[in-house]
Amino acid sequence: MLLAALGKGRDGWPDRPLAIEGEGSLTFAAAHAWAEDTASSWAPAKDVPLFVYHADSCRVVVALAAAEGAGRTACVLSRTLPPGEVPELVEALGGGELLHDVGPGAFPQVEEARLSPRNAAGPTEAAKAALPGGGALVILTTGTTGRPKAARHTWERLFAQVREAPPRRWLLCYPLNHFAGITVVAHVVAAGGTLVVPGSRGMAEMAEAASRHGVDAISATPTFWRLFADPLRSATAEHPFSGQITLGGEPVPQQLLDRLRGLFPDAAIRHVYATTELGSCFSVSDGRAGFPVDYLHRSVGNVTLRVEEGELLVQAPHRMTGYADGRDSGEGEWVATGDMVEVVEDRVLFRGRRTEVINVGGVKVFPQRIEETILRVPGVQAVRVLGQENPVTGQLVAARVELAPGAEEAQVVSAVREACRAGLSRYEAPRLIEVVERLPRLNEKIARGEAS
Amino acid sequence: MSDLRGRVERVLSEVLRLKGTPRGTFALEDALYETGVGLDSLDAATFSVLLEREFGKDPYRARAFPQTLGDVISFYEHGEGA
Repeated sequence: MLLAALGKGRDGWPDRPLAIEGEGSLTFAAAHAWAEDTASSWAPAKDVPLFVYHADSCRVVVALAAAEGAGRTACVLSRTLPPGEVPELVEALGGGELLHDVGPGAFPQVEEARLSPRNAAGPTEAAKAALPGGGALVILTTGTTGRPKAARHTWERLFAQVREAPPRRWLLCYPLNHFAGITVVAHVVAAGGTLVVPGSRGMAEMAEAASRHGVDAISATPTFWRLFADPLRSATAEHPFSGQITLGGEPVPQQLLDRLRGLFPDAAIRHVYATTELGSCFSVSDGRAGFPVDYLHRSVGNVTLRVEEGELLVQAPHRMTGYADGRDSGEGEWVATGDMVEVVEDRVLFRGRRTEVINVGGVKVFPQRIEETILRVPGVQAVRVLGQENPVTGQLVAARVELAPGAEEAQVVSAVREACRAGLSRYEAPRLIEVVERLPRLNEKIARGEAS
Repeated sequence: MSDLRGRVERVLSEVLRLKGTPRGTFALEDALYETGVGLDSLDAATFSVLLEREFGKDPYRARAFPQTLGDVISFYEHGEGA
């Protein structure tokens, strides 16, 4: 599917860039030829899984297309993982070959895989015809709340989650080991769009790359958008960004939607509900947090939703085919998402993860609502609310606050206390507020796994 | 006033400041709850966590919750002397 979609690009828009990275670019025709050539060289090893540990996003996309064509299962590993941990992870995931950029001989324990040379003569027609295709893609969960799990997907299903759309230029804000990064690739390839790969993770540089390369679609987490909104506005000062803004991966508070709307009045702003296991489930573009309550009473695209004991349940036909270790196929079954929701008038609002509910002396408290209250306080850049164990009430609400540059600690802390006193119940208002230099993040989401 | 007592009182003052009923001076026999210092369960939980952070040990993890300021201090005196 991925290789075939690149082939469609080669026939329809051969010279259009599939990806722009720094000063270089890779056209659809070149990417297809490169992937097809590599697939032919890999096809005899079709039963050997391929792991990709590579900082060059163009090569990662080519490798994924080649693996799919060769019938190999592929899995992208986070390039931020220390190299020393790579062999162990490969082993834990069942072993296979590794395509990497660390240098020859860096992983003596693991068999190395290589891409064919770029611009080679290409395989024969017979070799092309013999490509088995159908290679699966294994995506590791972010694991913000525990150990990552490996979800096995097919490109057919990943493409089925992409709605038909005009070709856009997408800024790549997610790493390609992340489900959301793969979704961006699927959008780009399916529509004949272009992936704009920023040269650095600096917000100003990314905003500048977006402006310089005419980006008109940006998908990122709320945590990312909170920091990226102002730089993007500055970089597009004359004509504020007017493309598509997508938020996902974490609950999206109303205040952030309003702020983005204010900064980018002509942009199309939507938030998506997607998980590594279930795939992209639905999106909401009416500018309001949560989703319409009527989504619970009809199918939404291909997905059906219901709420049981405050938890969102989803039936998603294009979900993963199972975990990579063979557990759970559960095709067609309702899946409990672990996301707690509350129906408020005509809206279903996200309240946080089931596992994060804080029990304060028997009163159940949702961190989400508290975090939203704290994030509205000027000078707060990020926040994580968690339960602090104690022998009196079981748990107590604690907040770790990351200050915006230049914010004055004592002032912000007292403003946070005031806002919580005014807007939250006494069980919710954090008793313990700790200012930290930087909250740990995983794939641009606030890491939530750590116990108190 | 012993340094230990001073430290415990500073923690208690912090809890009362967070509660919005600041107070600086205490007697050893002051009851911690209700008509005494007036800690409710959330305040007591806060006191418990802050004491543990200050001293590395928490009197609320002992067999019976402390009832007076003196109980808290003797927990640490006993603990440190034992």
